[in-house]
Amino acid sequence: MRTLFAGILLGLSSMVCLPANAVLTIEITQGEDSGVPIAVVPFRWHGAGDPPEDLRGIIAADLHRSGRFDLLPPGNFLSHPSEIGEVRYKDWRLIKAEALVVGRIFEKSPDNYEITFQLLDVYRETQKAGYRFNATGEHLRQVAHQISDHIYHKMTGVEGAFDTRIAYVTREQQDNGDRIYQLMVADSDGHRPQQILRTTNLPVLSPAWSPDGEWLAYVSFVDRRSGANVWLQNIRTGNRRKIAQAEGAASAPAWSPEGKRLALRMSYKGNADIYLMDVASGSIKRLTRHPAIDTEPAWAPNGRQIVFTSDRSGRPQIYRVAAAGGKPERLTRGVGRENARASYDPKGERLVMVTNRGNGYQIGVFYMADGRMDLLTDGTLDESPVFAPNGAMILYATRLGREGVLAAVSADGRVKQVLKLHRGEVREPSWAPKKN
Amino acid sequence: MGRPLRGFILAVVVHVAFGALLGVSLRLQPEVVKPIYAEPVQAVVVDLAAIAQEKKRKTDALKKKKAAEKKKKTDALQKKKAAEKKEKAAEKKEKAEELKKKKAAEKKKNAEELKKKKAEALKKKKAAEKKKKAAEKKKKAEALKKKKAAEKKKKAEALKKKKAAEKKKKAEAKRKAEEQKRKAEAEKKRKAREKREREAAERKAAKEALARDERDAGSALGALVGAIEEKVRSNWSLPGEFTGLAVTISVKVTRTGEVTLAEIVRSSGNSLFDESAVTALMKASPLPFPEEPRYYEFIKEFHFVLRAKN
Repeated sequence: MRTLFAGILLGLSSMVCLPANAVLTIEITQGEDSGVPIAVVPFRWHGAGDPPEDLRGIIAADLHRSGRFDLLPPGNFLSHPSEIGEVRYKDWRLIKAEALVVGRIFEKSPDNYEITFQLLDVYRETQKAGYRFNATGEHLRQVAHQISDHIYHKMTGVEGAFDTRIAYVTREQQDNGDRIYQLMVADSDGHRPQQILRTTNLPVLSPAWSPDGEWLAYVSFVDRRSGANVWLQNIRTGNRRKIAQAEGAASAPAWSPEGKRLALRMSYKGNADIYLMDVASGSIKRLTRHPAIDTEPAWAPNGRQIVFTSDRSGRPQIYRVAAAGGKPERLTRGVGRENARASYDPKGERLVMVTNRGNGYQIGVFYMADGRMDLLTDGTLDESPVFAPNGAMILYATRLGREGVLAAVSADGRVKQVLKLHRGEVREPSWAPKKN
Repeated sequence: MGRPLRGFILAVVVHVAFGALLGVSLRLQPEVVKPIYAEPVQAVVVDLAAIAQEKKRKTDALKKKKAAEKKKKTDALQKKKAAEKKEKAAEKKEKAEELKKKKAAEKKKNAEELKKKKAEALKKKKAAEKKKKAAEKKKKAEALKKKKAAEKKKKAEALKKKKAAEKKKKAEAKRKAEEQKRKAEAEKKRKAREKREREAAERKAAKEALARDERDAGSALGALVGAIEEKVRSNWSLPGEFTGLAVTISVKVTRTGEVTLAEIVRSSGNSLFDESAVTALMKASPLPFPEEPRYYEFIKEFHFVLRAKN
């Protein structure tokens, strides 16, 4: 600021002596991060009774959670337009809104709705986006997420990931002492949860979405005596199959980007290494060979590298190895005492991981280009982080009081939000790819 | 000492001696002593015997022997003296004669010498005259010659002088002309210098005034620009991370700070980033504006560079 200021003064002084065509130049650098101020007007309801969903609420929550927007409180709105023709832009400039979202819901027939929305540029007084949807009541939330995606895309240039699903595992203690494990799938905001697997006293771990969003791979146990096994389950049909029954345990499945292979941790004779399995044939190829524990593999988006956690240097750190095989190289150096459970962002530029700097476990974003790590969270038991399919958010498990909960954090760490989903423990989230 | 002088001295001595011997009453006739040409001295004879007899008669017998001896002595002496006198007289005579002769010879010689001298003198005189005449003639000739030469020289010198004078005059004229020219140039230079100095002073004053104005404008505008910056920054929201991007926007404002134009002159290459920057300026309108209208000139149009964080 100071130097900038001096520079301007200098510019001024010289300008006074210069001919009239020399132009004063003022220069600023972006200040503190702030979201784009946006006003989302409650959608006008054209129907009987109360509106079936609070679309405005869903959209506002989505946009807020992304960390890119500052949602202006509806109490400040001077007018409540529902389409572009009703908008007095001055009203919105007065409250410093840059973008305005207006819309309406028509109840065309029972459980048949027509939804329209428009995204408007307050200063240019133009429409940036406008869509019409037809939906039944059960899809109104999804429509709202799709509207959020349109707004997000238009405003940030990045595809939205609100209309996506997540998977996670819950654990509940029954009164009789049984532990109930559920594999759940929900909307990205945690709403509309659906159980897809339930076990009693047999843990379910590490759900992983297939790239086409049709399958979940996860680890489960057939009984309490045998080792862990990796299962594949179709989301729609509920069909599932065990894909690896090894002498030792198999766990931590990760889909290759093309969806044909899984990287796994497998343990033979007590030594955990990374293996690749062809999903169709079930054939297995060993990728690492080291007496230390190698686990938690994750594919690079290009499918050519795999990162994994290994304690071969004494404490867990992140290593990278070519998917075709080769010598692993250590990635995390001088960025935390321990690092584990890394996974890539969709561009392959960053890794999100659990990091321990000596005061518990937090979520960090590691930059491949320069080996730097930004800390995103400040908990003590934050774990299982995963990027949203657009790379803009991270979902992770944390603790809220005595409960295990899921939380979302914007990739810049600016906005954190706990997703209140379920009673009891919630853990091991996995973010489904976006379907087009 | 020449011979005549010696003779003369001798004569005087003898004369005085005799005078003393004779005592009083003896008066010496004043003599005119003439050098060289004087007459020879005449000796006076004195009767010494009579004196001695007188004395003898008055002395006692005792003194007779003495007297006798004395007489003898005196006689002897007398004789001797006489002899000496005689001899002296003879000598004197001889000398006188010799002197006479000598004088005569000298006279003759003198006369001859005089004659000769005269002749020589005459001759000399004649020669001298001749010589003189010749000399005079020569002198005259020389004088003439000299005079002529002098005149010639004089003429030449005069001519030369004249020429020199003319030359000098010319030189002087030239010098004067040059002097004048130089003076004119110096004057011209001086005037030019004065003009320069005056102009420099004016320029300096103007510059100082400008600098003063600039300082005032600088601080006023500095504060203004700071306020503008702050207002734009606080109105700028970025919908994402745009590391390394910068956009330059041309801005025009009214006297009351209303932004009438915010046009991208150098795009960041990212339309969202560019748009957000333009929006920031529109949102920040009206921008802080100068209280003093004259500063409006500086601020009515400017470029705004908005830069993303690194």
